[in-house]
Amino acid sequence: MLLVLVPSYLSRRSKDLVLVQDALLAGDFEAIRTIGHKLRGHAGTYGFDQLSIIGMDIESAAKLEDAVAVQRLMQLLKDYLEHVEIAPPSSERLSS
Amino acid sequence: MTLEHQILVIDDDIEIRSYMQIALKPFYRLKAVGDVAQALAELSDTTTKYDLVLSDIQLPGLSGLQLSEEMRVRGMTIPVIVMTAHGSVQAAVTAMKEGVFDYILKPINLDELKMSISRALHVQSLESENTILRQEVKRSWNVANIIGKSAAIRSVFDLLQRIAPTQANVLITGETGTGKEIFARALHNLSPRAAQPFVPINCSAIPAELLESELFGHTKGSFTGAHQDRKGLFEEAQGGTVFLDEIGDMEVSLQAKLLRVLQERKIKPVGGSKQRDIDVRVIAATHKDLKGAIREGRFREDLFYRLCVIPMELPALRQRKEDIPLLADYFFKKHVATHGLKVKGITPKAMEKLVEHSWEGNVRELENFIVRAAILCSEDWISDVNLPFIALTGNTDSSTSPNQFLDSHFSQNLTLRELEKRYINMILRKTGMRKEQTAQILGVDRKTLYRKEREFGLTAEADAQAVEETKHSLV
Repeated sequence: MLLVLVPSYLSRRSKDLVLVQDALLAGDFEAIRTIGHKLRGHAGTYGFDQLSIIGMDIESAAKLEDAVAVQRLMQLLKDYLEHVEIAPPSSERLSS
Repeated sequence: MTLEHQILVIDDDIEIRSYMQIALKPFYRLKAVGDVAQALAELSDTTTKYDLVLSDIQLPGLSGLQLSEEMRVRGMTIPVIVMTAHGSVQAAVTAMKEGVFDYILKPINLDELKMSISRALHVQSLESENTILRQEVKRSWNVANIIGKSAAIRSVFDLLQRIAPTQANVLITGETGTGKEIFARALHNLSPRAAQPFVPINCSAIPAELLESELFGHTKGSFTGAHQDRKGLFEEAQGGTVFLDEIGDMEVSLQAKLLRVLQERKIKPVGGSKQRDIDVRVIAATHKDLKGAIREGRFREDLFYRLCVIPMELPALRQRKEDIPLLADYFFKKHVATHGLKVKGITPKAMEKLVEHSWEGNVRELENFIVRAAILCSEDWISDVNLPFIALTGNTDSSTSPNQFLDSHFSQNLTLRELEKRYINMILRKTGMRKEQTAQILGVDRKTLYRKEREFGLTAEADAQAVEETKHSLV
């Protein structure tokens, strides 16, 4: 049942990329931190553990106001979204 | 799994809200909001009853922990589970110490979440049940030492608790043995007059010529034998409550005097000329049909309405059969302790028989029966087997004729006085302690019967003693 949520969930992550890019241009590291924090929380909940780690790293880089690290993580996120494959769930928790 | 429980989810992350909506939908009814303000609005809305709150800790504005605190302040007892990222575990642990039911780490593991929710709802259900049972016990089973949980007695309890704090006069009606004086005492004890005296007067037990003096007092020399001034019971009860039992037996001439006292709140002692102010609440009781007595001219209508500001009708025991096991158990424990008996209890089958019995003498008859059953029981338990042999009332002793009684007592060479005492006692038990019927059978009036009862000490305790004596004489 939860699989129905996945396509729209992943498409909204592409929007996250745009939001992080805009925030980086504006120097708004607090907005970036919030996006990273939320990504960390909800990606793991949806079963995208690797995406959750990327979110955690974005949150950490934003706290340090490390624009280079944020840029690198954005690229990682983009690659992930382009290559992620959805496997059938092994339990009620989704897995990527 | 039913969808009987409603959960409120609070998370500012729409992804988490969407996830919860889908993941928990098969198990619970669910509403999801984004902040504490919306959550409090939802929780305050009485049209929806929430069973559980599932909240993120970090929220815009007030946090999930502040929501929990605000709920506590508002007296909301709904369990709260908080969701937190790894870094906020310490905050979650602190929150649990302050009353949050559980915490769930993000990323959320659905199995863990469902288990936590299930546990919280189970605990909440037990606590609610416990609260309801405690209230039920407090409200219904024992109000001012009156035992009962039936609908019939609960409605009387409700009335009792509503009217006790007022000053209104109360007329208690009900069959003999239903506990009219006990309810009158409860009305007094639950009233602001509780610290002042409760003075019961049995209008039927006091000769008419003495009743006026008993009620209102007398002055020295007002009649033969009045050697000194004496306060009446109304004055004795000053500030408290006067309980006029068997008001239906009061003579009409005295009814007029009582009416005046109730109207003017003043008494004039017999032989006196000065009136004295009194401040008493009057509770009256009767087993008689006062409206019938009014029609027949034996009771003043104006006094009736003065006394019957609030009528309280007590149900007969046969109208509250579900209370019989409670009452039987209560009386059993009370008298086993009083008499130091070894008998352990009443078997379920014996209890069934007690419930089936009609108890025309009501609670008083039941208590007397239990005393006798406990004292005469030679087994560990009062059972349906030994019940008939110890039963001295109702169906089981209806075959005992006066002749059989006399035959069985002649051989004991009893005095006439002892024989009289035992015979009156036997008839009282045969009639289930119904005074009017007993007096009829004995061929005396009720006043004589009351006098004999007092003279022979034929109260419940004395009755038990008499049974014990009988038991010894049978050994």
